[in-house]
Amino acid sequence: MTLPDDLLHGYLDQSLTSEQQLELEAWLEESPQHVRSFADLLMLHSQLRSEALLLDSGLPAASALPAVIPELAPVEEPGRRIRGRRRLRRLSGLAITILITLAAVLSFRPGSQRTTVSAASAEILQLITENKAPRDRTYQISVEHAVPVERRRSRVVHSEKRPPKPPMDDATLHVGGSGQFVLIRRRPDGRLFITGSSGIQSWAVRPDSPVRTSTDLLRFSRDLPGHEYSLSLTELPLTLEQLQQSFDVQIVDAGAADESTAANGASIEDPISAATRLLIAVRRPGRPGPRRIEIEYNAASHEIHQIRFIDMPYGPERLTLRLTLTSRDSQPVGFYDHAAHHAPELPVEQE
Amino acid sequence: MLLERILPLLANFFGHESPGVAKCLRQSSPGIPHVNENSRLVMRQWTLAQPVVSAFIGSLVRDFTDRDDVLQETAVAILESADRYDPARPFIAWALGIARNQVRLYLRRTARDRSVFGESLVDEMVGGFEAISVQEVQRLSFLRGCLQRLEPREQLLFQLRYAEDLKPAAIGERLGMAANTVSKALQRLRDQLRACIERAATLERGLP
Repeated sequence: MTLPDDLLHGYLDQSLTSEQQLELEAWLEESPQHVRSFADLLMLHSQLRSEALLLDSGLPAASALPAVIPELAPVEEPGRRIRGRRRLRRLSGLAITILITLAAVLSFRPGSQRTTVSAASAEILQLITENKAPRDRTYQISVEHAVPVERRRSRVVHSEKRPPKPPMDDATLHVGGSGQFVLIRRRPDGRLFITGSSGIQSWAVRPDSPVRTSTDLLRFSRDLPGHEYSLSLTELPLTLEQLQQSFDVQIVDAGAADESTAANGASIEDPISAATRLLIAVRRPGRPGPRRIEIEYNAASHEIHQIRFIDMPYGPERLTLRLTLTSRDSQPVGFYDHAAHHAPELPVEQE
Repeated sequence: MLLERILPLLANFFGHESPGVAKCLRQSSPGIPHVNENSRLVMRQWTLAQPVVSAFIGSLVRDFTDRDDVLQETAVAILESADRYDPARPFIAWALGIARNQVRLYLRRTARDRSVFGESLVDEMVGGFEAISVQEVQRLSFLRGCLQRLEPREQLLFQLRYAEDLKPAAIGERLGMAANTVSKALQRLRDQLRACIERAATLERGLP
């Protein structure tokens, strides 16, 4: 009896009907050789998951791994020969890494630490409470990583009609209370593209164009990082509530945060103090938004001082963005109105 | 907490001077139990056996998240039972036995009283996994290089299936493809990776 490969692969992807499942079972019972073939395929399937976990955890490339596995090369050229004991040592290193990674990475998953999940919920409630008061804050935005994303044809056609978004890297974001914000981006030609909302109207100040305003407060806020996934920085309490609905959340204490961030290759400019915590939110399968969000905050005051949106769909790209709090100074009156950001003679068009 | 159980064992294996482990220990473990030479032997053997045990668990627990949990429980159970390991016995058979018990516990815990396969077939499968040689396990280390050579579309498919644990229907929704087309693409992807591993292993052996 020969078995179509479809059934073996279908088993891995859980797409067999009960009839096909029985067919597979009968085939496996027919010969130990069949079981061996099946085991071989399962070995590959399992290793693929392990590799994906390693990549997903943001561990450094193999070449950057510490001295515990010095021989582990990032890409193996087929012609390169690694023999005998060296090869065995390298594999042992990989296996040890997988073990440690599983212990560390899996411990952050809610399935592994259900007690921590409730602790995380309590911590989020505390964060929501402490961040309810409207306060002016300024963030510097850095794009750590950007990769183009393939889209469906219909979407590509749609997006081609729109001008490219101004770059988010090195942008400055001021946020106030009640949905107020000013996002300042610099175009490749050096001129500024500023969007904002006063809480009464939203607006856009573009070079060589009239100022556009709208009473639709969402009209010019779509470019705010995370906004389209209800993760707006202008409404932090709502954002934190949203995290609990679509993400698995864990809180890491200062010391562990230090290691976690280091393992994820993040560069934190200021040393993490003993009073710092890291909230790690990993998107649940099937939910939209960034793959992962990291919120670094003061454990005592719950003041958020850094947010990272990791692998977030943004226009035609997937971005990893870092927003670092640079100021908590109050803004002058009228700062969130468009008039504070352009020459008075510039015409204004109401949409 | 599993991490608290496993860290002292890791610390003893690597030595307390390992900064990462030492830091975690300071936070999570009040005391470090004595780990003897048998434990060290088990740890060393486990590093080689882990991919096989992981695949065996995956044959019966197909949901990745659950599989990872069972694997983690198995790793801890193996480390905790290290004193009872008889070095005269093949390690892989001992480890697979523990993994099988952990799968049973998982099925009971999740109120799934029956395994995907019957007990006799599971016996056969334990035998099949026991027969996997160290060389075959070693060949899997070529996988990382093969993954890095995938086309962007294939990388995306790999990410969605193996990192995000999406099934073909969900991947299809995400990519605007029929579930059946995704299944075929996943099959091609695995076949392609298998062939790549074979080529790399052949070249390493110096054969044409």
